[in-house]
Amino acid sequence: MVTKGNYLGEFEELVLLSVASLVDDAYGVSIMQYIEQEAGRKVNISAVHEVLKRLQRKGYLKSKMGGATQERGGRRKRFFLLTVSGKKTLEEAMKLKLQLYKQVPDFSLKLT
Amino acid sequence: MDIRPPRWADKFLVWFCNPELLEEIQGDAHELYFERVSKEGKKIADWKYIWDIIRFFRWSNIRRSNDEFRPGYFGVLWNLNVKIALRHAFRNKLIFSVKMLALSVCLAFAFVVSAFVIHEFTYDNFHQRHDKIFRVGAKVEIAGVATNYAISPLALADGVDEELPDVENVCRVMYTGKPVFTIEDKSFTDQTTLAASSDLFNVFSFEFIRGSKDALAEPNKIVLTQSMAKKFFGDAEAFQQTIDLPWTQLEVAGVIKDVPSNSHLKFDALISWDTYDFYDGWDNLNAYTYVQLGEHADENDFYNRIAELFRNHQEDIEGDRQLAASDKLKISPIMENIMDIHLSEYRDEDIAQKRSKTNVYILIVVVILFFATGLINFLNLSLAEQTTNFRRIGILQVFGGTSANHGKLILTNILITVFVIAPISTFLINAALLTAESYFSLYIDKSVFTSTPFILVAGAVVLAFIFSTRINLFILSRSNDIINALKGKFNSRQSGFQVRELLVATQLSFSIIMIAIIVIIVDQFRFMNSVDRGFDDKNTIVIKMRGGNFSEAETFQESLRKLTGIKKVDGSSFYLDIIETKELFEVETKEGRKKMLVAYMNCGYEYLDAIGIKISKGRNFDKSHGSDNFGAYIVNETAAKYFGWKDPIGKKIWGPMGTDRDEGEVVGVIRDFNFASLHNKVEPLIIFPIAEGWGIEYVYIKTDPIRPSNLISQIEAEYKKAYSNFPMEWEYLDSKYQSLYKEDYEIRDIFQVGLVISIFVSCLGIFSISAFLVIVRAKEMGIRKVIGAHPLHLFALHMKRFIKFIFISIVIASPAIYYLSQHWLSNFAYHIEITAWYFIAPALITLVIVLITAGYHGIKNSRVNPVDILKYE
Repeated sequence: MVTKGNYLGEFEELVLLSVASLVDDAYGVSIMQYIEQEAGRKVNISAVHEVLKRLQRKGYLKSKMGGATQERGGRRKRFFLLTVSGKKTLEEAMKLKLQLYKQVPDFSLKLT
Repeated sequence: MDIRPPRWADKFLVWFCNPELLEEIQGDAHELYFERVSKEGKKIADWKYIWDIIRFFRWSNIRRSNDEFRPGYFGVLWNLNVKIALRHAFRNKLIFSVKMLALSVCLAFAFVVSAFVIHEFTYDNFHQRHDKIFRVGAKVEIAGVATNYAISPLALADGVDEELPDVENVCRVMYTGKPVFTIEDKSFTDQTTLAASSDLFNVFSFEFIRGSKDALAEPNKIVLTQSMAKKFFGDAEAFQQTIDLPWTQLEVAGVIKDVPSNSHLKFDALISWDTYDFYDGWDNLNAYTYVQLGEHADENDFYNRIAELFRNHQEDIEGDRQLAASDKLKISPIMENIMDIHLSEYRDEDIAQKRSKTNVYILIVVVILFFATGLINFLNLSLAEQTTNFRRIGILQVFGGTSANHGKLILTNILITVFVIAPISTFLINAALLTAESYFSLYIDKSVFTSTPFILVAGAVVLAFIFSTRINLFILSRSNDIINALKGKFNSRQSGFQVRELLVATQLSFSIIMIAIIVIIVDQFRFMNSVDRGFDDKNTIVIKMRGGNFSEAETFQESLRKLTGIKKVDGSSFYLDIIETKELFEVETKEGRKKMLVAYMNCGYEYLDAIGIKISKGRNFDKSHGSDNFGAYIVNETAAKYFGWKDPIGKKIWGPMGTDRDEGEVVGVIRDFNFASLHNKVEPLIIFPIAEGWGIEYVYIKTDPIRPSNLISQIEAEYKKAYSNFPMEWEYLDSKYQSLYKEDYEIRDIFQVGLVISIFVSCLGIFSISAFLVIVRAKEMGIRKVIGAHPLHLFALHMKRFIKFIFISIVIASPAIYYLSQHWLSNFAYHIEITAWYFIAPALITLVIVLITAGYHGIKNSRVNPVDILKYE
């Protein structure tokens, strides 16, 4: 499958982080609500699904179907988990950002 | 309350969504929905749900076929399939070309005929408001005898205009004959010309090239069609030029596009109504009146009000025809939508081009037969072909080919067929149209081919074709056949066979129907030619007189009588196919004097002799009886019966009323003669001599069978001497008589072409089926021969099957033949009776054809050398 290299897009990174922090309860709706709640960004559920699919294809996420549920007509949820490579990519991305951030001279001063 | 997301949105999701993703997507969407219902209310939740579903509708979620990588897939192994199909075609060149040719011929023919049928059914639909345009005719009842006229009183148009408010436009048209147009020094005489009131262009949508809709508002204006303008003026501008009539001068006020071929009103030129000085009374029944109703007007209501209008003007309509109170004249309107005029029943004095509905329906049957024949033949041949390919199919299936894969193979075959057939049929259709135009003078506008009905028909045929090829698939994918095929067994009682037998029998029965109907049609024409028409149309020339001045015509006739090669010359008012005139006569009957509407003709003294009308009682008009001129009548036998006369000679007749003729007595009775076509019954007729005031309209010239070859030019020279202004218009009476059957001849021509094609196609079918049978049963025949069967016996064995086909097809065909022929023959007042022969003869003809086509392989079969076949294993 064609993917855009191993880089993480901004939204991809956000979703990946949400999955990581939601741990065992990461599925479409919960991820969407988490993003909305933490980042204050309104996203459509279909966009979340799209990114989840893409991340799974890149190998950063794995998924399994959960058990039957009550609130959604008995339909199962697909839960997502971070893979090792996903974790690594996330760490690298964070590290890179932090590293770059630190190199900015007097970053905090400039802002004020 | 049952709260659930909008059902259709949910269904839409289930429909498009990839089943593997459906559960999570639907689950998430529903979860969100119910959360929103509790927070924001149902309405908002519904909308948001719909929005979500729409957002989910994206490429990565859409369900798609999952056999992307299986062998035989369209994209991947496409070229391989094409290769197989092409290789197959090249290997069986004969069968392939036969298949393609037969199918394209059938399709082309069926398409041309259906174009013709559609053309017939879409008469006058090019007018913008065609559903609201009606023609008002008149039903005239006198003394209990009703006549349906296409015409109506001249005053009707004004009456409608003044008294009925919701009529948007009303116009009247009158046939003025074919006037002589003179432009500079050239004369033109053969233009169908109508006098039309100015509103014509508001009612009908004829397209203007020059000029505008009010072109006919003033007197002495003429509107020409495009081709007439070209004929009159060449490439020069016709607009505002002048054209001379013998009595006035016209200005070209407009040029319109040629009248479409599907217009019931056909004309070359229109002259403005006010140019003429028509008598505008209610008792002048001569105009064609068209009304265009308003958008919301109700036609039944309108009909009632026109009927009332007629009743109110009862006295005006009667005019100066003094009628006895007992035989009151009753007149009521006949309203027809203009689209119905072409196919409706016969009306007196109609200028519309008519076609009988039966003939059109028979043509529809032909179309269906042909589509079916072509299709069946194609199916048959490809089925036969594929049955011999069982082994290949078997191997394909062993390697995991599904019936869907096989379907793709067949689809490839269809595509190749379409690629081959499309150009051939297009070519054939064009050729057929050209032939129809030049040989049968049948003009079909090309625009029919782009009209919606035609596209629908063509689409339906293509669909039928594609679906019917699936039948083959169904038959072929039966597993035990394939197992047998791989075992090398070829059972001649295979299941595909029964289907094929049925197909061949159907196809053969179509051929039998075709043959039977063409035999009946030809026989009916033979009957019409042989039947005693009561007059002799051979060697007769008819000249149309201009102006009809009596004494001028007399001198002209006198000069003709001197020419060698001419037997008799005399004038008459009667001619084939002219709109016949009925007049009121008073007739002496048992109950006293009675008024009757009877057709009449007047003629010269020698006329009856000249065209061989026989006197059965009494005598002919005679110059030596001085009183004949104004006091003698001759009636035909039908009239005598109609008036209730046992001994007609000496009975009194008065009339026609309102003319200079008064009382006279019947001097003779003539045998019935049928001047109109045999579609119609002979009507009562009264004949009286031509006299000074009446004019001579047609001059009949009876020539010797052996006549000088330049006789026509001699006559023409005499004509030139008498009437220097006009070109001579003449016709042979017998060819004119034939032209009355133009429509029937068209049907016959179509059937004849159809017959040839149908026989050709079924011959091909039978030929290839018998070839196939020979292959299938080769081994059986070999063994039979080894055991000692006689070649003749083998031949009979081969033929037996085809004889069976014929019997089945006779059973299928007979009711159809009976029904169709009864229908067609009922068009004729005088027709042949259907006898058993009309069923037996076509069957015999088909039998012979089948014996010949199948016999070839039968003989081959019987002479087989068993060694060649049996050494195989």
